[in-house]
Amino acid sequence: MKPVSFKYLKPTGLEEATAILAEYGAEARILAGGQSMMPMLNMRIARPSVLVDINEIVELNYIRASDGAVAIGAVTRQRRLGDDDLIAAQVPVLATALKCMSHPQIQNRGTIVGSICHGDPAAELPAVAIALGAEVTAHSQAGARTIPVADLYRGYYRTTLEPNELVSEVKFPAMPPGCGWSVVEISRRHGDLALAGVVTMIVLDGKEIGQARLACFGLGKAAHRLVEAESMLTGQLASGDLFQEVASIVSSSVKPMDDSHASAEYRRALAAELTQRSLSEAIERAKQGATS
Amino acid sequence: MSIPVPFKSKYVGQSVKRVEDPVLLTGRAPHIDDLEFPGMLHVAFLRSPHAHAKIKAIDIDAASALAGVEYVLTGDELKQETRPLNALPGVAPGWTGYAMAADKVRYAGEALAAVAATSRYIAEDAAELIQVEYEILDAVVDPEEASLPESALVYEDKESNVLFQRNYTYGEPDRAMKEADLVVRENYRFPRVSGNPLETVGVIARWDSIADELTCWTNTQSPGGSIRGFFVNPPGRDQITSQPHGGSFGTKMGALVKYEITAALLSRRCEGRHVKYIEDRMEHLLASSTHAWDRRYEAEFGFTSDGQCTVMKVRLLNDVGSSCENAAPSMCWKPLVMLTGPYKVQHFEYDMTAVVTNKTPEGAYRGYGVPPHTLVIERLMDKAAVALGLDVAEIRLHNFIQPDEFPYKTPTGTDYDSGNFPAVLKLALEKANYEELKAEQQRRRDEGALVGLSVVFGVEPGGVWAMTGPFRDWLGGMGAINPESAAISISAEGTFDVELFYALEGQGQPTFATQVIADYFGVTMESVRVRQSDARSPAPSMGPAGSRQAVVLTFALIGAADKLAARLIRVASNLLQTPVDQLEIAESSVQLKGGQGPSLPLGQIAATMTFRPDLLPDEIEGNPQVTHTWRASRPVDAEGSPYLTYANACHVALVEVDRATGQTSIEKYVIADDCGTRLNPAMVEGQVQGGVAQGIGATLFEEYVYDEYGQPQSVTFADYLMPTIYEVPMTEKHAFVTPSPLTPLGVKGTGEGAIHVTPAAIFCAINDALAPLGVELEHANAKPERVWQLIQQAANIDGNINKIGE
Repeated sequence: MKPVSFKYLKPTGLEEATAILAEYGAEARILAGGQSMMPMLNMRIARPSVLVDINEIVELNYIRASDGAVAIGAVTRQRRLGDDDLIAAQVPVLATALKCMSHPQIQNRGTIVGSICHGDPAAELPAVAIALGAEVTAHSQAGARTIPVADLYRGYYRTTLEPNELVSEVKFPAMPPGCGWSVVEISRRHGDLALAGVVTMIVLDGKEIGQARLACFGLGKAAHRLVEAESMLTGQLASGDLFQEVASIVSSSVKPMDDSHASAEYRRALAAELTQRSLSEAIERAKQGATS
Repeated sequence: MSIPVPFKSKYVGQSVKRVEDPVLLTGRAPHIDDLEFPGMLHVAFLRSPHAHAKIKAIDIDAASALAGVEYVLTGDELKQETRPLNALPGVAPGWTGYAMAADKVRYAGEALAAVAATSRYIAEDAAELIQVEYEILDAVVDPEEASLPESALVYEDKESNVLFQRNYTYGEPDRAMKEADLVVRENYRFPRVSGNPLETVGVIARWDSIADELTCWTNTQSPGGSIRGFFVNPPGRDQITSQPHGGSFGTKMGALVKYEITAALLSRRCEGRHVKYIEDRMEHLLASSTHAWDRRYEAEFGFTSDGQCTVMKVRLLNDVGSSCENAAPSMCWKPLVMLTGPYKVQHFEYDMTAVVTNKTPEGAYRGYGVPPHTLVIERLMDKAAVALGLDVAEIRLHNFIQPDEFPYKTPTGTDYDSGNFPAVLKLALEKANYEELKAEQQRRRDEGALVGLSVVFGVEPGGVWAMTGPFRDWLGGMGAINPESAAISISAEGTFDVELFYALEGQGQPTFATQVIADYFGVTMESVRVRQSDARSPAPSMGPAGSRQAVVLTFALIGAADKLAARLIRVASNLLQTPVDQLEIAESSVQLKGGQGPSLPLGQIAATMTFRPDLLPDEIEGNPQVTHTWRASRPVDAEGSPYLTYANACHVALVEVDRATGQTSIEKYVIADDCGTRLNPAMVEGQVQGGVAQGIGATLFEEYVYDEYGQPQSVTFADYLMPTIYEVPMTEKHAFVTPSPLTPLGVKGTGEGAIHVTPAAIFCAINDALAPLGVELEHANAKPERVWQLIQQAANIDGNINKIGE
């Protein structure tokens, strides 16, 4: 459990980092919080010849308001999701997600952007980001581009990022007023990656569901939106029957995988149950939001 | 409850803080990986990716050529220099390989080459460069198929994969079964699990050919010992030391031997340089050879119509993995010392078969084979209770060995020393508010919740003192006695040094030894220092195993203290001109009995030995140090129990199973435990809570899974799920004290009781939760999907899936 030999570089600015990536390209891997990268290095699953440690790029450590969104820099730790006032006010779903995520020791090291870029199909943050319509900003020497997180994944642990790109921040749009939300998951133990999970955000329009955003994790090769479920819900009155119908659509539309913890069949059953739980919880919050 | 001690107890019986903790908690204890030596080399192993394959060719040239690599040792070379690993001496000679695989690999993860290099990094780089040509063989994976004639053979020179078969019959089980009013039967599976201490195993070997001496620094739980015998050209002498270590649970006994052998040989090949190997966590999970209790059971119990259990038949199939190198299949025998549990049953058939498969070899694990056996007994008691309309507590009370029947001889000839099972059970029920729990369960059941309640009981063989009785069979009829030693000395300042054989791994031996000696001589705990004996000390010892240390070390300590006290009193008698029989030791002095008259501080008596030997009586040895070796007072060919004491406990658990997900949550967990005198109640509670965690692990989380090709699926902590503090409730613990009449302070071994009983408590509670659905869990690992499948089955039987889950 020792990594192969690599060159260790520690840029202190974004430009320096992108210059390094321009030079080494696919031979380089980026180290942020290291909560996935370090095990991958030690197990020799990742064998980069250059490791670019971005933790000293202090300009990327921030949570700030940005045009109706909350922008979070690439070295900001996950733990901040639980104690930041801006997040509590504008994207409280992130604080809820943190409660499902790992243990304090991991949250103190792991970064928000790192989790999104790693794209573990069973991780919470990619799904929350997709449900929120978040975007990441990818930098290279050629300049910066924004990528919706919904377009970031192209398969199992694979992203559309180029080898010479560094994601500098993720921008979460502020949740609309009165938005009800929910993050629910089933995991074997507290803090484990989920066997299955569902994120829901609902805005009521009078008694009807005005807007619904759903995403799931642990139920396919990557976190993804549940578009069909969203359209079934929009414009409808919330009801147990509707939720059950949506749950059954979600259950049959997802493509989970088998592993030693759970079969695809079981995960589909969890998807149905979690969809119902998530919708009920989000509606409750939306109703409270509407009356408060 | 007063403690039957031969001295005034100030510390014994109190939850004093552990004396060894400051060093451990501040990181100052020298663990094996903390040790550095000049020029030390580091080992990495090449491990087989295949479960079963012939090694056709192995090419180490590229690895040997890598800068920093000092030696690459192959299994073939090792085979020339060493002898096979130990087998079960009396049962199964020849069912082991060598410290590394030669010719063929028998499980995925088996080592077939070892690299010694200047760093672990380089060693791992080099291991990747070794080229192996394998001829893949059919893997033997399923233990039932393993015994079929058409199965591939794990050992080609054997006729089958059946390691041993035994049938132990007591009374007339067939007749009793025929006469039974009620017969309950079921098949059970126990998951393949293991101990997972914080620290994995490690060794540093130095084979100095000039001094003709081999030294192994290790974190073995059994200090002392020798591996000379494994070498074709052995060193003149060897010693194996034990560093403080982060837990053991049985994993740091036999499994270390193969690493000691390999590191030793590498050291010899590298001109006596120190060679270090530290097992990493993946290696521990994959290939530590400490997996345990991969078992299948067919069990059948007979009862009278009023709930008396008359006969038990238990058929066991044990998958021991690829080798019996750790003598661990002897774990099949341990249930023979508590075969009927706490119950009076005269007719018993215990039929056991062990097979080898292409999986990691079995090793010792806390409980040594009793937890699955207890689970089978307790679950069938529950089934009988349901069938007869009896409360699960009632049927146990009805079958218990009664307090006036001790010492109680079980059908297998083992003796239970003492106990009061009904009182322990009643204490647990009272503290758990059992009647209220039952009412709550009914109320919630009526609302549709799957709520289960269990009341289970277990006995804990402890204080292993002799490999006699049923254990003689696997030793080839030889038997053995397991003595234990202690040395005590007193300084001119009146402080005491105590030397014991133990490994600093968490049980608290230094603390209770300090408590006992401080009380014995009436001094403060600060005046007593406890040290681990030197590995070269000839004083006999077995070390930690079989929940024995509180029992056997107390014997050794009191024996040594008696000897030292006698010597001190004799010297004082001369100095005070007072007959010996009028003197006693109290409050750090020798004084006139009753406390009147002159007294002499113990330190002054010791000083007399050191500085004024002219004042000593002629017949006295003027040495302020004594050694005492305690041994079992029985012949080696004796029947009866290898264990001296029988602690016992009742666990009450309330769980809820989620209908939609199959997940189990533990809502209440109450324990009443009788382990005799508690030298340090807090340490006993620590043993209990830790055992509960491991029991919960086995029944809800932990399981080594293999696929159909024998590929291990659980080689990281992401897949082998250890319960964490979030999953293990802090249990309510209550003490009942029935001192053992056989031990000097009335103590009983208590290191394993909680892991004996917890799996049964969780398993029975889950099955009780599922009872309204008419389904039953047979696999003792209730992973959510398994339980969910059963709930689906029930829904299908019902013909209305939607109804369930609403």
